[in-house]
Amino acid sequence: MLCLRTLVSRAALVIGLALLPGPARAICSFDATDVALGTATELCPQLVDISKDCLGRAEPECFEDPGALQSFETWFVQIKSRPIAERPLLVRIGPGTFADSNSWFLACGDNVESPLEHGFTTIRGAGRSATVLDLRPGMEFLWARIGLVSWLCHEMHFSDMTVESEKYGVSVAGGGDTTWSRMDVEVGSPLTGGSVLNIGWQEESCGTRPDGSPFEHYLFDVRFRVRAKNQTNVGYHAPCDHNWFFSGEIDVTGDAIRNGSTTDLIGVDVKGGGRFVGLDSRIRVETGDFTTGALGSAAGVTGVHVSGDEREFHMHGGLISVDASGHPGANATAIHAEGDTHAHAFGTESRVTAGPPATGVAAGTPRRLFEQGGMIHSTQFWGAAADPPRNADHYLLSLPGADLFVETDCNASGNCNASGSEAHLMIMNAERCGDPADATKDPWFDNVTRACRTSP
Amino acid sequence: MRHRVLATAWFLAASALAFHDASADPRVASLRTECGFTDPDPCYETTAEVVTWIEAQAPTASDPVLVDVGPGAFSDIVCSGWGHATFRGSGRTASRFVGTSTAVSALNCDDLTFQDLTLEATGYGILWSHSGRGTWQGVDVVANRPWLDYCATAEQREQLFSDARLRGKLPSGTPPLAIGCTQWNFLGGEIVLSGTGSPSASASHVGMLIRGGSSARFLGTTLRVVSGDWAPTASVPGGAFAVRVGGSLGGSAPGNPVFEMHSGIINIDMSGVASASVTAVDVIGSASRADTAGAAYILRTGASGGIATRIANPSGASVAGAFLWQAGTEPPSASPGGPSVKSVDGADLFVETDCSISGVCDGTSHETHLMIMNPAACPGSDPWFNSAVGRCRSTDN
Repeated sequence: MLCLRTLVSRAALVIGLALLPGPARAICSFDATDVALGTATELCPQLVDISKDCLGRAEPECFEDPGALQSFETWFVQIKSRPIAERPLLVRIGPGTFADSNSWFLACGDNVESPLEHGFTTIRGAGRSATVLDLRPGMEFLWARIGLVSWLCHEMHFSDMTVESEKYGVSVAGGGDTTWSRMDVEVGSPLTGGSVLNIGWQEESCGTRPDGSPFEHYLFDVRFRVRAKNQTNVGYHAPCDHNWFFSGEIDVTGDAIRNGSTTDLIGVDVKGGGRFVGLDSRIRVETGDFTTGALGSAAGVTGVHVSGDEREFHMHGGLISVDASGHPGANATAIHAEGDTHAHAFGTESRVTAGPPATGVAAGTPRRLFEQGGMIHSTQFWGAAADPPRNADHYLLSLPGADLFVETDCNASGNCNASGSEAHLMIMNAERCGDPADATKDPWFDNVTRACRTSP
Repeated sequence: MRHRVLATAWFLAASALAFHDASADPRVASLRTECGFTDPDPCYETTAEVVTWIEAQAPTASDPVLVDVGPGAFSDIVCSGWGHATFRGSGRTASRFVGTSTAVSALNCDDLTFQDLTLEATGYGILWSHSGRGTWQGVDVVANRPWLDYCATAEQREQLFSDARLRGKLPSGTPPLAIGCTQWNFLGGEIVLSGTGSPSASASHVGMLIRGGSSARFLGTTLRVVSGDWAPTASVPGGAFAVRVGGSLGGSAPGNPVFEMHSGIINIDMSGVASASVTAVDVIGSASRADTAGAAYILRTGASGGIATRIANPSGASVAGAFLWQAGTEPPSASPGGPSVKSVDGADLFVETDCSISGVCDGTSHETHLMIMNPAACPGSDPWFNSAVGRCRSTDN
């Protein structure tokens, strides 16, 4: 992942460029104390526009395209004190596509020790598809491939726009609380090149509040779409903060072109100090055109990956869909928990399709829940059927007791080979009836006969 | 409205261009901490002024008004008999209406919409009396008691919250969310109610009360009722309740209350105090109704004691929504090694993973048996019925 030093360098460069000698200009501030002390000439306006046509209005009331995003970024750094709780800022971005090939870097703080003092800015577009920030790079610098960066900004609110980027869609660096509403974040497509990482949401340079608690991000009705070509491809990467994700979508699709020897395709990746809570949302991961090449994890294509120390993933309602059907032999897992972690998912449906067999390649293993040291609390009642959920000759695997379905073609002796019409409750129990490491063995326990399922 | 003084000839020329918004829709007003040259007319600097303007416009359903609220803090909104007005803020915490007793007080107001702003008060966040509809989108409500409504008769009332966050305290007495008159719909948001000061020595603490003929429906929402700032040594002898459906509190519409929650979570966590029993959904009165199909639960009693109940339904009301708890070698509990959670007959299930073929679940075998909550047949501290063997759960040979 991108390191703190890189981002500090980026911030220093932005600030340095902003402070280069230029036309004499009034220095404004959002802090009245600066004006009283004479270190700023006036208070900054609390409402500014970024527009295709400012109709004669000058900066900073209005920043006109082309170059509007960069002009605003420069102004935002030059001002004496950036917005504070007592004097917040609204930035209205009009309809149209606004390009910045060098990422849109919103820098608020000067150091990680004081991330709560500045920020307090609303960036509001004219509508999810009406305002598009095209932040795809024109140059091949590491940080130039990031889309929108909020650097040490507290209480930032973004809404009603689309962000297009190549490497990271949006990145929150150094902490600060944020909200995001009615937005699309598109990463990767339609570029043909590729770096090592493609990530829709990224947290960098973790910070905490003065009381030690983590920062929080609330996302309402936000869609992340990552068309991934590269080594690590993640829809939502949460290594720092607490994330609340309401009624949104995280969509990761593999692509044929990639770098590196192995590939990860992950919908949500929680690690470090992070936590993710999803409500009524959809996580979807598909191999797409990624049809050959090795996957880096034993879990294979993964909906949710939780790792690290005491990390948490929660999801209620919604769907986790993992589809590796385009990649022969690929494993597929809905929720994978490693280390001292906890996943809690009730009321969430999962669909898991592993890669099919091919010449010289065995079929992949489909798993709903996969514990490797972590603890997953989740149950799913599958639909009633004449057969268990499976991919071809591979049974779905999960944790003992976590999955149930009703088989509808059993007879009184427990033979469920379509000869009967009794409905028997079946319970996942690979430890007792199958093999947790072998999806070709039937893992289901018949709760009526108190014996392993039989279907000769 | 503040007079605008043009200081220089240059600015006069510039403002001629800048005033492109000045001919904006006359049904739109701006509310700013300081009205500037680029703010369209009319522009006001106080809430009272903009309310006077709304009343003068006499908005109707076919001729509504919009108040464009700039960044900053403004005083509370008092609405009496008007409506068809939208207050559109500059961002969830950028525009704030701050009051002492209330942030928004509405009496017989209809079709009020609030977007992208914060309502803040030490008393009630929103106090809604009698009829009318309200829409709250992207709104934060921060108050001791975020919502109270009051009425005496059956009137048309509907409230819609989407992407909203409600943060309140957890006092005894009137609950911080008290719904008695409305069809209350809450989509994709968060409600957090936390203890402050000291818990009552006798009374219960209820997070949300749904009473009278009201209905409250939640989708994709998280409701958290937590001990918050209560001392670790404290106890809550009256118990803590996330949701109570039914019960007495005046000023509600005639009828019976309905509570529905789907695809969200009810989290009642008193682990920050020494002793507290917790109940997620408390249904009072046989005519009340609750349906929580698809909702999830987290229950945490006091650190050293208490009883956890998912559904309490002493009067036999209509309660729907079975919950399949996580599988394990012990029944689900609200504290590590603690007693089993309680609920009503048939509403809760879990799969025990250490049972023998004879139904002894003592950790020596690996059969998975489906257990069903059944205190009527299995009274005592272990209320589970083993459906595989057809008798109460047993851990002894």
